[in-house]
Amino acid sequence: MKKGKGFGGNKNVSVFIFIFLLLIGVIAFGYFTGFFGKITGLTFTKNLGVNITVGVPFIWNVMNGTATMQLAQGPLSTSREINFTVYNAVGSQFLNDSTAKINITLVGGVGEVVRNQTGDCTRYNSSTSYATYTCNMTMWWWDGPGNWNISASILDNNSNAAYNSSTTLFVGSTTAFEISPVNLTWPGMGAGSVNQTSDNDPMNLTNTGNIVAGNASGTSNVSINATNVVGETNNLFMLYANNFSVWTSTGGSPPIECDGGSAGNLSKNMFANTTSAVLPKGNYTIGDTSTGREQLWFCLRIAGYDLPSQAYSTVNMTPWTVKIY
Amino acid sequence: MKNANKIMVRTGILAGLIALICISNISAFAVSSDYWGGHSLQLNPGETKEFFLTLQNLVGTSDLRVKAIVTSGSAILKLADSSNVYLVPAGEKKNVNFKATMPIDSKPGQAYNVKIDFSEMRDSSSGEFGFGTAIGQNFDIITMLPPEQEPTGVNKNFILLIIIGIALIVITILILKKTKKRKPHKKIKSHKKRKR
Repeated sequence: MKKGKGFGGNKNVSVFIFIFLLLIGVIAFGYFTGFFGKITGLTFTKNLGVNITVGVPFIWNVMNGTATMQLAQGPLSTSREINFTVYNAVGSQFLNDSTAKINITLVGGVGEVVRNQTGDCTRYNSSTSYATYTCNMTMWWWDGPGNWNISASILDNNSNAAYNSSTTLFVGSTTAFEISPVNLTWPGMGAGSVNQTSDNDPMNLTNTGNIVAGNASGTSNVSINATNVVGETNNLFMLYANNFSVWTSTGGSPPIECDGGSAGNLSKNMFANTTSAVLPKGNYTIGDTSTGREQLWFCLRIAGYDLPSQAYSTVNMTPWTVKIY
Repeated sequence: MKNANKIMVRTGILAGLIALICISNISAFAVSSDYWGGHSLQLNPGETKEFFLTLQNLVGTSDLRVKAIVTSGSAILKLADSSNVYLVPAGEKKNVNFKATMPIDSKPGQAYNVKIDFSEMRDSSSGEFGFGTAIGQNFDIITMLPPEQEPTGVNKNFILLIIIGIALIVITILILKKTKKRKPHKKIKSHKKRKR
């Protein structure tokens, strides 16, 4: 009896140890999966189950993936349709159409505007459980380039919310600006005159795009390519390009735009950086002098002593060029 | 001095008249791009990509002629159109096509800065001190990093776990055998003790 019991006891213990070790093996499987993944970089596929509670709406598709767009130059707006599809197990008729909404936000865009679209979404297609909404998104010329997160949301009639922010909208850059006036004039002056400022400046620069021009390092800047202003009757005489200067303000004696600081001097056939100029982006239509605007003031620092009486212009040369970079 | 005064008057009057005629003119065009200073084009070594930038003349009232020149990085970026002068009708857009080719020997992460100048081509009329506009586009073309090798992790780990499992089974068997061998000794000893 004791023998039998003893043999039988050993067998049970062995089976127990075997099962115990197998259990450890099974548990270790899960542990080593993560552990080896961490130390070797090897990956394991894990299947995640998604539970959708019956009766709560679910936005399962926005735009069919990533969308791209380019903005029109100011003052034009750019419209874009954004669609999203909602699933509601109890029936699409229980979705509250008036709550369908799209928000877009520029990723990493400090100071960028969050666009809230409410009321512009309409249901244009639906079946028993699905409804597709189309939203008209309006963007403006100063909206920054980059990836904008699209957030779509809707409520059902019991105020259960569905939300999806898995899609982005890529907006490209638009570099654009206007200058006005495009012709400068000077009051009458005599040969040998100094520090003569234009009488129809400032030249107004308006940023009609979504890229800021001008930074401290000069990698982005506002620059001017000057040419000699040549006599129309006798083209052997001219106002030399390097006798002109420009600045972003005026006033003082001599006028600051004539001050002769090397920063504001122009050169023939060479883009000279106007270091003080910054052309910000923004809604310039609000009418102030700074939003999306910059001003340039021009000066002829000296007219040659030998210049004869005649009209001087750029007609025989290329016009001057203002460039943003 | 009298001569100087004559110069002054004639120049002043002529310039003033022209200014009154032209003062309302506005020069405006735009360049749209998927690439800019903060958003580079990425290519594999030896890869060629065709893309376009778009000229806009949507708010202007007259047609524009715009000249495009690659001013930096022309070794890898070239204009793909037959002419580099583009007529952009008022209210319309025009694509400017480019072809970028990454050198075959470029190293991963290597950046090539490219610059393209778009200049409005404008003629001056008599008496005008005229201005045009230009837009510079500047972005990097970067050699892509080699794609990370997709590890066949599941298979390798699966094999590893099988080995661990087999090792555990072997250890279990060994323990069982040792246990079996030890038991008879104990029994003999207990017999001896009883005899004493």
